[in-house]
Amino acid sequence: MTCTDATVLAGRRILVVEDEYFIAQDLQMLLQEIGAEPVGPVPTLQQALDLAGRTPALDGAILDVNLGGEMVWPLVDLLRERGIRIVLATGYSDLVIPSPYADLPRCEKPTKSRDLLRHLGS
Amino acid sequence: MLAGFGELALRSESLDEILTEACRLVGQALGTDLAEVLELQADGRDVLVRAGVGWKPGVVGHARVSLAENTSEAHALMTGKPTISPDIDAETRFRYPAFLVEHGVKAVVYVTIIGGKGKPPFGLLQVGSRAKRRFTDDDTLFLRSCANLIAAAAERLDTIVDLRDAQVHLRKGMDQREVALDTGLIGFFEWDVGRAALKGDWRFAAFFGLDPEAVARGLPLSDYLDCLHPADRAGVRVVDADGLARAQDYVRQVRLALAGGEIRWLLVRGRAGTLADGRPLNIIGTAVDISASKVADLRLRQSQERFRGFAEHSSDTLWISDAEGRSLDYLSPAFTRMFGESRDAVLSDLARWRALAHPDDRGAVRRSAARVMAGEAAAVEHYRVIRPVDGALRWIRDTAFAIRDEDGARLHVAGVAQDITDIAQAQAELAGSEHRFRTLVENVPLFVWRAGRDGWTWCSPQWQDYTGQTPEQSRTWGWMAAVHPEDRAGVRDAFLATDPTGGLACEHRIRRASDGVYRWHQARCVPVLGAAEPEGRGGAVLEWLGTTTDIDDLKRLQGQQQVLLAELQHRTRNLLAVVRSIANRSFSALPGRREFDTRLAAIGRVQGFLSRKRGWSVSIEELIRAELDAHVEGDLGRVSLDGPRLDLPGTIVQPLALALHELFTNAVKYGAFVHPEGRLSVTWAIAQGSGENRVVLDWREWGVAIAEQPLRQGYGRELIERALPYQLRAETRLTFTPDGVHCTLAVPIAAEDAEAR
Repeated sequence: MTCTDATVLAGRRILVVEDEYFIAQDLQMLLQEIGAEPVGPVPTLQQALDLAGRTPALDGAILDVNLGGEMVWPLVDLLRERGIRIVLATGYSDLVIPSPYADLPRCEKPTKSRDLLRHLGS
Repeated sequence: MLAGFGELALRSESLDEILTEACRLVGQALGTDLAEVLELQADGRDVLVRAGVGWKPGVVGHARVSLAENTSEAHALMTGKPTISPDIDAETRFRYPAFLVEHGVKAVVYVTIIGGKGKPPFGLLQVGSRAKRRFTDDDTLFLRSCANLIAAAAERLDTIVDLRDAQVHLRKGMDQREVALDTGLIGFFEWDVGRAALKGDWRFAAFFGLDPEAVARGLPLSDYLDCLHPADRAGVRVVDADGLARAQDYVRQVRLALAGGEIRWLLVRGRAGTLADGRPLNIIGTAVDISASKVADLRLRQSQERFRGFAEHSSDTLWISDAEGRSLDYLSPAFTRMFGESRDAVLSDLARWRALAHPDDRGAVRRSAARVMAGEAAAVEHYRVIRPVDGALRWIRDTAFAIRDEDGARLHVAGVAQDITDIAQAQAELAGSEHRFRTLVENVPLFVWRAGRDGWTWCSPQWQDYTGQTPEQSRTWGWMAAVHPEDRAGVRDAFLATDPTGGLACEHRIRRASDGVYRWHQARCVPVLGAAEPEGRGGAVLEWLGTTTDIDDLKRLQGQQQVLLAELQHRTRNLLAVVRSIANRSFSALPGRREFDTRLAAIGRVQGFLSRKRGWSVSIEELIRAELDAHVEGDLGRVSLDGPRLDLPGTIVQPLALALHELFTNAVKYGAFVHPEGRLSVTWAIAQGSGENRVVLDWREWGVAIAEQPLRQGYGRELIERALPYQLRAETRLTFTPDGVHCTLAVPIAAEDAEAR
């Protein structure tokens, strides 16, 4: 499915987890441009778990895989249980993604709004 | 002539004097110069030349003639008649003693000297002539007279000697008795039946503490009984009466109760005497103080009781058999517990013991005893028994030894049987454990070795399989032959420098015998330490246990990784250069193009650092100097850098390098490097906090008076005030004083990275 309608994500609350400050800022701006409501960004796994825990209504998440040396998988597990759509924003190839997470949609950095809409829009 | 001799024979008390005189007389009378008296010896086998005249020294008192042979001496003694040989050269009947021939005797005559009544002959009187001679009847008659006188004298002297011996003997006997009495051991007594009185010598009286004179006269039995231990009195009466009635020897031990409660033991022996008509006359006997041996007996009994107490309570089975091991004299109660069989069964039938053993071990049962009987001092055997009572299998260790008397003769064979099931099981488990460990050591895909001061003492078989060396070849430094020649010196140095704290980790190539290829290996070892010393120091190194592992594949992979990493860094920097080039062409007229270019250059420098450094870390001072060099040429007099040696982890290098880049850019354009009085100080330190350590970097400029600086807004300021706190959790402060920029960056750092190196 390809959906280029920017309004699809309007008002949606999207969690942003990214340890690189300027990339996190860019993602935040990108989401704001398309009318979504960014939650975060936060740079570490622990901060992300805390934030997700205290944010009941999440519609989606854009996650960096490697957070200052820590892998994001525990957060993925948590969000999956809640049925939240996830996009992995990573430079890693298929080889590095463990099999339980291999089916998650990925978009390579730099992230483009079109990719986000495709994976998070419904 | 004979009368003179007869007088001497009666008067003299020396038989030798009488005999010698007799020889002299007969020689003189018969006109020969050789005569002798031969004395029959007590055993009757030969005669001794007891006396003589005319003989050379060595004959009289020494020479003997055997009567067993066919001699004229034997003939004379047997017949009791004179024996004459007129010419011994022509004589065919007899053989002659050598000394006769040596003295040139040609003719000889013997007459018998008879013995006393009922006694064998004393011997012979002999006369020898150096010329042939036919002795006449007168000659022999004369000789016989002399012989009779000699016989009488010998008989007389013999009687005197017997008498004298008897006197000496008598005196000696008396002395012995006196000595015995004086030592207080033996007293004599007589029980006179007719008078009903007991008499005794002074020692017998002394035993009972009675008046010696009254005892010598005789006292009623009751006086003596009063001195005995009350328990023994009745017995003495009964036995004495019985002994008398049957006229038997009697032996009895009685206790004397002395004043002060002391007890002494007397052994009384007596023999009953009777009159001719069989009526009892008396009892004569002795009393001996046997207290000393009684005490010894008591001690022996106590010792035996102690042994029994020990044996009965011992958890080991103690056994004593007869000297030939045929049956048991003793078996301790532990046997029943240990073997699950009653003692009586084995005491009555020793073969029952063997039947208890495991069928495979029956030969070992009682074999220790058999070995002792074969001469071993002590023998140990092990066997298993299956207890009849519960069917349990028990391991037995049976030790046997001989009990001997003072002369070394074997009295008993004894032994101790111990239940060693627990020990045997533990040993079996240990053996199993050792087997498993050995299996592990000999099959893991690495070489295991032991080493001492002089090199290897042992290595696992894998080494021999790999290198083709024999165990002997690999010992000490022999294993070095399999090490690549270029690596040997280094390996040896590393081994010799190994100390207990540092251990060893040394890489070298080892030749594989199967194809001759050298493969990389790593040797490691740990010390085996002895017991710690009292001063708290560790024990001495007893030996080293080491492994040598094939790391060839790892080495190759590491090499490939190095190549890949270098390629990656190269491409990254190349890519940055390409991006800079594209940007320069694309944005040649745009403001900010130059800033973009220098920022990419700073990122490029960081990549260069990280690719050169092992362990993904960069020295903070190097990082600062690299930025300084990139921005300032020549005059560095206005800059001071100060701080400890510190390596920064790769994760914080890039953000920090970019922050430094912004600060330098500002200083070169507007700050410390613009004004003649401008100064820059960069210091850094580690601040140890309660939760974590932080690298604190302090950037301070002086002598700068400028109102407007680009750093007040834009990328640089966002980087320092927003990005560093966001991604490094850093605390940052950027202030603009009238004198110039002051910036502090406090970046959390892992403890292991915070140690100044």
